[in-house]
Amino acid sequence: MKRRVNEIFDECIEAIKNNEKTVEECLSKYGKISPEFEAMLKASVKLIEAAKFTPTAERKQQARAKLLEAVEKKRWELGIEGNRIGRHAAKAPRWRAVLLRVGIGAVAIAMLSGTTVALAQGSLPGSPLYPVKIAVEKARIGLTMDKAKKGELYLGAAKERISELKKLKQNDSYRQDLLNATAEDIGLADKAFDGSHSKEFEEALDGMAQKNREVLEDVLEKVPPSAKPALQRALINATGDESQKSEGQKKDIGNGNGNGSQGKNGSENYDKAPTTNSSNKPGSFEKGNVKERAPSIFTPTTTLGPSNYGQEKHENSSPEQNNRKSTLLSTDTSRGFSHGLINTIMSLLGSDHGVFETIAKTGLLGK
Amino acid sequence: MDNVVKLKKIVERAKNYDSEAFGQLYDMYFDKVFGYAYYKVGNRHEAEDIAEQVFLRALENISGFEWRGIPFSAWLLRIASNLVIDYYRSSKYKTVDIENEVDLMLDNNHNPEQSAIREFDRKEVIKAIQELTEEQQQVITMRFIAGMTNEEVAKAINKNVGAVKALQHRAIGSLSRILGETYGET
Repeated sequence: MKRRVNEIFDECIEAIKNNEKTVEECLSKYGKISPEFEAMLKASVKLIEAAKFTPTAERKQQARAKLLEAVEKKRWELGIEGNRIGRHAAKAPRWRAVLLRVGIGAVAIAMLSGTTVALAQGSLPGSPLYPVKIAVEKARIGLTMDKAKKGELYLGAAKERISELKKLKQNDSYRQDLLNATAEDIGLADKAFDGSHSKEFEEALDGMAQKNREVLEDVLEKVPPSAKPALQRALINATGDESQKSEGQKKDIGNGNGNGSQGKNGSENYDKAPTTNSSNKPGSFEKGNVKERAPSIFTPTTTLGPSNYGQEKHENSSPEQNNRKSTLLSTDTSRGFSHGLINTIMSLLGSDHGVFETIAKTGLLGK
Repeated sequence: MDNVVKLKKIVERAKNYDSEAFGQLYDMYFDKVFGYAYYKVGNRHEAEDIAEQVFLRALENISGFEWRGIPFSAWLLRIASNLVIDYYRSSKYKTVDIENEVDLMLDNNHNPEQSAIREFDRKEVIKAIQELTEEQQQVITMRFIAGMTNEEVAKAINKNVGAVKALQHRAIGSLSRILGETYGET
């Protein structure tokens, strides 16, 4: 009989927890199965109510960022390979001699500075040359001592990721990786600017948001808390500019941006002059709509035409161009060269740029 | 069952230090771990710190985690439990007065008066839970705060489901008496 009371009590608690029954309904269904049944159900309700207590959103996000940072550190300590797009490439174990890293790194960069780098510039995730592109980006950032310049390079990297995103198909499996990478670069840029150049950072974000509002809306939830307000403001500004422009031109009515004129926070005014931008197209987050390239630092030294090198699934190139590229890429020397070298470089580089700072200080590579 | 398979896959990825998998586990369990810690220490800030530490410690120890019938949530709560013990041993604990600790965070959906009442109730429930036996506290926090099923609690504390229900019944019986005294209902 005692067991039966436990069962009924548990059933009632479960139903109350799931909002399927009230205390009164339980009492009317089971009556007073024990003298303290009613008081116990009421105590359970107090317990259920008291359990609806959550940590603050800000603290929760901070703890999340800290955990993910610790995961990355762990990966580095263990020398685990990076994710698919090479953002967190394997870092060399600490026991490797710094001098060896400096020496090999310098040689590798020198070797990569020619055609391979140029070829890699237009590559997309999944391409054999893509890791070269990321390695070069990392090296450039690592070699930069000035914080503001570093911030600019991170923003350049974020722009490049967006540019890559636009070239991918909507259902491409690399989309999430690229969105995460964009958010990470924006966060790193914010960190590099370190508050002292926040105006520059905000203006750069404004410019990015003008051209890439939809992508950046997807990125917003992924950026670290410190960078979020600036990005939010940039998006609000971009939305406002867009609606002003569409009103002025009396077109695009009912294109899904009907709520955009006030921005997300309605009446907020951030005192930013609208930027006119002829390449700004609402809804341009599609394959083949790329108008801008990353800053000049990413510009290839050799012009190669369309940037989807080696990507069969990207359809920007003509069949002739694709044939030419795949012939080039399929040569064993090219593949062997890029894979071997890239693996070496990526294992040397990681995202800890200390080695490159050391190289820069020694003047080994010049300025 | 489907969820269990999904969770196992996430944990396996986390064992390979996959950031995304860790992020998913964090999103799934942070609130529960926080709730558990909160009911053990009765202080929001300490509970947030403990919950954060739980996941960092989980990262350090994930390679040793094995599925032996014990739910992943129970493994996290065990870490939390150890950290709570550390907390009570620390000097930090002596400087925090649960009785006078006022949580100024207001619930989004309630006015200040309602929030104050809820806060009072919450503190009373915490004090009442702390008067239960260790075993009863475990069952109550796992069932109500961490939202675990009877089966999961049974596996976590190495008892059968019937014993868990009996423990729960006795624990709530005690709670209703303690709370009844607090609210003058006895």
